[in-house]
Amino acid sequence: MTGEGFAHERKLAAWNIGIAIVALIIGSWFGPLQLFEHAGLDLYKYLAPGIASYYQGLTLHAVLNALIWTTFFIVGFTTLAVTYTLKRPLRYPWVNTLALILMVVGLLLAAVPLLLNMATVLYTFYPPMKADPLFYIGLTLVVVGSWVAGYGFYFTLHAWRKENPGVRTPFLAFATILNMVMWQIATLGVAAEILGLLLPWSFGLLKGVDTELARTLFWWTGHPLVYFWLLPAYASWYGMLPKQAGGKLFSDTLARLAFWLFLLFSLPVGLHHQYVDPGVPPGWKYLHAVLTLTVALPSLMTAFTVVASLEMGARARGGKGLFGWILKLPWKDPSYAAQNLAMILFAFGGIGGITNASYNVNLVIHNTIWVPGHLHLTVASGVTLTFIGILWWLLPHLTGKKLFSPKLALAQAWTWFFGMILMSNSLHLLGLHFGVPRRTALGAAPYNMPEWRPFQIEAAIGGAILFVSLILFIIVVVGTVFASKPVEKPVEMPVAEALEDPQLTPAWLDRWRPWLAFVAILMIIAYGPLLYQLISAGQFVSPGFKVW
Amino acid sequence: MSGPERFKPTGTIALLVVYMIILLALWANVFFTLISRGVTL
Repeated sequence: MTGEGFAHERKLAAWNIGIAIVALIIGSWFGPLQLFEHAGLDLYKYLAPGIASYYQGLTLHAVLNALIWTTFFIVGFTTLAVTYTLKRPLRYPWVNTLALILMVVGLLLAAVPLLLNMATVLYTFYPPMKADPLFYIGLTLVVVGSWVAGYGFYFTLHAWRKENPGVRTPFLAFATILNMVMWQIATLGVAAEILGLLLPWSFGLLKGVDTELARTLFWWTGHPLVYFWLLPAYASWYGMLPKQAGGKLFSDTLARLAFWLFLLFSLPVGLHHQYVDPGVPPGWKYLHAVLTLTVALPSLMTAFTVVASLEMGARARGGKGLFGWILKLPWKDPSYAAQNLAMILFAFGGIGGITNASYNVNLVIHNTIWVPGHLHLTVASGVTLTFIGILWWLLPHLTGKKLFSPKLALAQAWTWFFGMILMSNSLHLLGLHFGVPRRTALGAAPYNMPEWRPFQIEAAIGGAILFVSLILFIIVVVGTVFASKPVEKPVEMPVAEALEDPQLTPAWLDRWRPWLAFVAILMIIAYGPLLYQLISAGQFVSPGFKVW
Repeated sequence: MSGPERFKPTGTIALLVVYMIILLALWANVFFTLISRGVTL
């Protein structure tokens, strides 16, 4: 027996999430290896010739964990969230089936050059590093597949709105579909980069590439990509976690407003990754700095609304005092604990994010190992640990089997938490105080300084704890799917009620056109003149290099 | 706790105040690191 839902949609979600889990497991093995290498323990030599270098491992780690795990999980999760909360099946199930096929074909095509060391270009694939054409084609198909999945959700929402005139879209459907819309606008940049520059260049049709233009198009996508990962986590924090904590969503209105603001302000922000790029005039960088810092507004609204919702649940469970209520949260529930721990780490990632976004302060940490320290608090903790927490109810929901050892699942969450604290703390300090470069096999670097060693050992210990956490994750997932007993009653998706009737939420927070018009205007202002300038002054001369 | 007028999220506000203090302190730490290196001089 399994949870309520529609058979085809559940199957699609299960395929997406299953592929995501495999990607996370394979990709995560390379994370600790990097930290061990920095601390002087080079295990890559034992992986040769399968894995040719530190950099091939780094590319696999980032592509599998940051792109594949997240994209497949999000499409699967959105499929369930949309159909479950709209209480209707997909309007055109074949569209979403086609999406899955495109994404899988893309993944397989990209995997070939990745595994053959023909696409060791890291996940940002900056030219002039050049990959095999199959890598670009594969990534394009994964992105196009996710677009097609989005179309499937839009058709479904459109059909639901016709069937339910005047009714507010259920929050989880609204939030996850908004994320797909944001993703489609965000990926226009990387689509233009790959189709207009990198793919013809890799086929030899273009003799050279303009690296500055390529980077600018990449970061059109690159930073909103973070929000594509984050918004489903936020959807769970707003729309599911309060239910798991025994509370209600504190404000449906605030929640929807925050998501609209994320749509507006998470997109025109890419240039804060290019503060030191000489080809981008400072005025444009300053504009993007201001817009990036504006994202703090919906972020703080999220912090307030989510924590207030949890506080309401904790006080309903008998919590007292200014901070004492925190102890009454359901910390023994692995699904809840993983997501709350993810929030705590993410809060510190947000502080680092403000630093990164600050135009001048960014100079201290730009291109240092601080940046992966930050990314692992946001994506590898805030997002991934939340998704893992979701899995602890989702796997029983999909398989109809009990979670295999909730205690091990709880241990998995805590080991991930402490492992990430050690790792990220040391990476931040190495970047801040010593300017240690990121994306570098530091163990082999002649400039590796003795003063760095204590921090590198701290990071390696963090990596070892994370490795244990990964093993626990595998045990719980495999145990649940293959060795667990059936649940006595179906495990339902935890959908939090709002404190006030969502029908009282203003109608303008459930209309798409005005917000999409604002987005278009903002993107034209933030990128239009700059891209015109970069394209008209483009120097398509750089040859490609294979450096590793 | 049937409505927002009855539920005052005092603990949430206290947590956010603590968070803002930490945020400002850590940001200022990086800012002073920048200043100490003379980057903006």
